Amino acid sequence: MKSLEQESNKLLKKYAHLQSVSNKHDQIIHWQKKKDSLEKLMVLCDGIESFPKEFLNLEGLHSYLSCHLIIHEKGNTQAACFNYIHEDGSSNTILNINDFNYLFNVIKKSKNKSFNQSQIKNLNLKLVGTFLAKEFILPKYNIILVISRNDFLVPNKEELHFFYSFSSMLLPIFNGLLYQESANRKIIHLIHCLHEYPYPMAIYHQQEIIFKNTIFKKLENYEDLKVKESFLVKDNIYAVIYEYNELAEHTSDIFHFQRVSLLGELLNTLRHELSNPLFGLGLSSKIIESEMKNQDDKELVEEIAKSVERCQLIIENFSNIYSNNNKTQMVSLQKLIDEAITLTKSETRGIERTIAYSEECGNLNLEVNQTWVIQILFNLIVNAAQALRTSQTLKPTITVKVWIDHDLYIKVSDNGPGIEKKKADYLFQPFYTTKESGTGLGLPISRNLVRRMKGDLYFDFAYTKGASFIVKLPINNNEHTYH
Amino acid sequence: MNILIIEDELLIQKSLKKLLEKRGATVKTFASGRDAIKDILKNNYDRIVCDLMLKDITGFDIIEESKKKYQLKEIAQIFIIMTAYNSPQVLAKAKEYHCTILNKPFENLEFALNAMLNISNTKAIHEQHETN
Repeated sequence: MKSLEQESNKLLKKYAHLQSVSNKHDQIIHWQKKKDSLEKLMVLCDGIESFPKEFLNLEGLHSYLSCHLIIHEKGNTQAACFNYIHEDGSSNTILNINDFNYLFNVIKKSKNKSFNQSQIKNLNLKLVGTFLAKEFILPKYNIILVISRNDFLVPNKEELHFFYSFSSMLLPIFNGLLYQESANRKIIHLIHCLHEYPYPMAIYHQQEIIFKNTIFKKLENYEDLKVKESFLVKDNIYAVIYEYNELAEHTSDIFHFQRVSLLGELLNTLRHELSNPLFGLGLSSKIIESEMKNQDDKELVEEIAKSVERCQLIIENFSNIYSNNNKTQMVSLQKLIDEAITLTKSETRGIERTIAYSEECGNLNLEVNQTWVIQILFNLIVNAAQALRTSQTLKPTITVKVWIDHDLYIKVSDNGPGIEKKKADYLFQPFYTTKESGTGLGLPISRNLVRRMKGDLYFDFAYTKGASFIVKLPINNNEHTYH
Repeated sequence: MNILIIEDELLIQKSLKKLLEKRGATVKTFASGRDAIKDILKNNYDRIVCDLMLKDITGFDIIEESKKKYQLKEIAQIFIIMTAYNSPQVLAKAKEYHCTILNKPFENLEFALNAMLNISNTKAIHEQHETN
């Protein structure tokens, strides 16, 4: 019996030994698994944002439905939450610093590291039921990791053990991801700075340009630019900064706005200052005209009166642009065009003018703001005349074609030198001008006016004999609600 | 028919004087608002044509000073305001006096001249002032 007892004791001891060996073996396998999972996690996470999703995919956490990674960069007033909830997917939210600190302390002080939603009642976190959480401290960051099954079952020992043994190894992963994150941010910021550098800048690899900043991209011709500075970045890669002082190309929004409002003020002042003396001139010339006996003198004074009227009209037109005064009235199209041509008489002296109406619009009446339409046509005709004059075109001709194709089209063309395609893109930008004395406002103002009439004004790229602009105006139906 | 014109743009002032005189009116002119006020208080006019923006003061100042002599009703009959600055605020203020307002430049010269010459009841006003 004794021997049997001894025997069984021996067996029991052996069994115990074997069991402990097998336990150790299990443990080793367990650790091995964790190590694999960790490696997998490091490979799968391509950024801090994807961490919650990849973390929940780990073996052993399959029953968990949500994961929140809350990161507070020290010094910030807010913490970033990267959330992943099964079925809902990923989302980013923000937690204010007080809530973060409260949660952080609750987790830090807790011994069993198991929590339920009653502990975080007032926090803006989508957590249901019990959850596991762990806090991490990095030199620049405080981090909270939370996972939950979204139920009220108390986590069992194995789960707790898995979560905490595993999460204790996460610190280097967080460190790596956050370092990468801040490095990315630095690069983005740096690229932004390069783009916004206030001088044209390009980076070359040998002879090839591999980077152009914003100003450089806008330049039409960079070969003529003077090099301000150039330096070697790396083997065969060098950056070049160019001289840049062309004011015309450097119209930032504020600068532009200032010019426009200054111009508005200027026009207003001019109107006030000029309309009185012009009125006086008009009145007095009429008196003189009526008293003149010599027919030649009479005609001369008559011309003065006409010029005065034209000046008044121009001032009126320019100040109309800045007012919302919009009177529409029924007028004959032909009369409008004739009037515009009469106004441009002196500019178009010596230039042949032809007007062609298609049959259906010969007697057309329009409900429009006369002044605007005349001003637009005046502008186009004067532009054409100036182009013809400066280019000294032989047999200069301005053609006005009018036709209807659902809308009304008025096309003003010349046989001058035309406009280069790349310049045509800038034509409607305020203050862009090709003329020495131009304001660069004629076309943008005209387009603005046409658009207020629900029409459009554009450059005709198809026309090759010179430059050509098309005014499109709506005609049929009575919906002319102009603003 | 006595008309006073207060206008600092001399070309307008002289032209209006000439045009009105041609139509039989007696016209006196001032470029300075302050001088005009003194004159208004001293002399009687059937019509006072007054520009709003003068170099020294405004037409409104002149009307306000004229209240020493005329009642509001009379001001509405005697005064004609001329203005080149028809901002809504200015127009609103001018309307408070209920007098004729002419925008410069005149859309219709004859209409403007007739408004200046079409004088009614002012004789009665002045007779009353003289008996007082």
